[in-house]
Amino acid sequence: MPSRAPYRGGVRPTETRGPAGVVRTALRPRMLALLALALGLAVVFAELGSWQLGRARTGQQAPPERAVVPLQQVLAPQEALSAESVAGPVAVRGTWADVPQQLVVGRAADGSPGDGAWVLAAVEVPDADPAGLDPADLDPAAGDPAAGHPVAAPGDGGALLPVVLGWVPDADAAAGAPPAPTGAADLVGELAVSEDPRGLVGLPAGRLAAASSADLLNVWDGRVYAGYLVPDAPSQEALALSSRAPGARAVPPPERESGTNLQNVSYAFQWWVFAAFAVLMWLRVVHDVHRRALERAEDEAEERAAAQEPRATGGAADPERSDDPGGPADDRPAHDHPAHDHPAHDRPADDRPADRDPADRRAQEASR
Amino acid sequence: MSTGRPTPPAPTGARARRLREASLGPALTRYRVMAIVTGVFLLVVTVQLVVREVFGPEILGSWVAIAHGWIYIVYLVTVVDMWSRLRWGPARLAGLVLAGVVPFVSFVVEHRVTQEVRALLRQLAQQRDGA
Repeated sequence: MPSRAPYRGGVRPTETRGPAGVVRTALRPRMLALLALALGLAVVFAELGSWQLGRARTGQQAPPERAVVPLQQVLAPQEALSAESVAGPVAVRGTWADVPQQLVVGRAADGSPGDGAWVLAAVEVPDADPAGLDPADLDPAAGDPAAGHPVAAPGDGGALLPVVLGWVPDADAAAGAPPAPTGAADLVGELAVSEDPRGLVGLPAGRLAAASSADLLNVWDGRVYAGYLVPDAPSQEALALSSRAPGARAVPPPERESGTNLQNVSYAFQWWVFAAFAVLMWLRVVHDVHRRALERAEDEAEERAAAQEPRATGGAADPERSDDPGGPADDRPAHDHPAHDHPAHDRPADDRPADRDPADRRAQEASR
Repeated sequence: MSTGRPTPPAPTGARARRLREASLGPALTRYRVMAIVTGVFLLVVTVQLVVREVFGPEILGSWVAIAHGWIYIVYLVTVVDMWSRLRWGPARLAGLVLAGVVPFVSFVVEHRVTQEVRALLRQLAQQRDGA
């Protein structure tokens, strides 16, 4: 706050200057009511922030590295993925489905926009895990599709789980590759939420614009899981892919909703900033109300000083004043101005109503 | 100047002196920069939202929405600063705060505020120069 020139209007301001005056302003009932409102807003905003942070953490509430569980234990066909679904690896046992392999074009290996394509095949997974829940059987490191596991017979009404076999740099070269894998499938990998559908318009057969279960439903017969699997270890099928498509690579495991998490964390912080802002705003309002009271006292004193003159509300100088500076001044001796030693400066003699006292103005300019 | 609203009477006396000392010009510039940036980001967020709902794909990603949130906070700081210097009332503060979250409205409000503050600055300058 800029330092103010000493008050010289001859009338004491009713408002106390300094910290004591600010505190007195803050303790007025209206200001206290505003404080209650600001604190209420701050609490609501802080709660919203915590809620956002909670949303950001949903993907991590389950143990981050939970043990491998059978797919059926954490996800049912055509149901949305839960936090549990993506909290760790899943084991998938079934049969490579006899459905057309799909190329998800226009993406780099990690799924970001770019050249190349993901190769999607489908494993038909029975609704109940035929092997029972035997964790000892589930070895995430094993790329061995051990033939000993009981495998559901094809066509028993299982649902299709899209599996990312890998990434190829050239979709056209991969399109002519041998057909999708067949036989028993025994995979361990990470689930990812199905991408938003992009439709099939403008795409040749066997091509998709997104790894979307909704789009896959149009090209594959049967039920489709609402997510896709990215195998942890290169499966034999993936290796087979690389042998037949030059430059093929495995796809990195999906990030567990990290984009959404970042967004939610940022929103959480924003809500907390808003909460702090509400309280700071109250302090600012108290400061301004106090300052305005001081300024009003100053204005009133000034008006009182010019009480005998018509008020210059239009900003333009009153013609009377410039023509006859002595005239209005004659009315003023009755007015109480004990401290005023420059009556000529008491009203704007020229077109400068803003500057009550040129000496005052010079002093301020000098102090800058 | 055609803002549609009548030009308020020029402040006089101590009021004018205070406004002249309040560095309104730089405060207005800061506000304008943030109002335009906020408005543009708000438009991009809105367009992205509509496109995502209608067509599916996300154009630019979630960083736009995140950035808009933080830019809006900076906008609020410039708003409070300018509002306090101008000695405006609480209703105008509420209007400026809300203008930053309504698409297009932010540009309209920014234009009106600029016209009004510039007119005020002109009045103050005329008084000082004794025009």
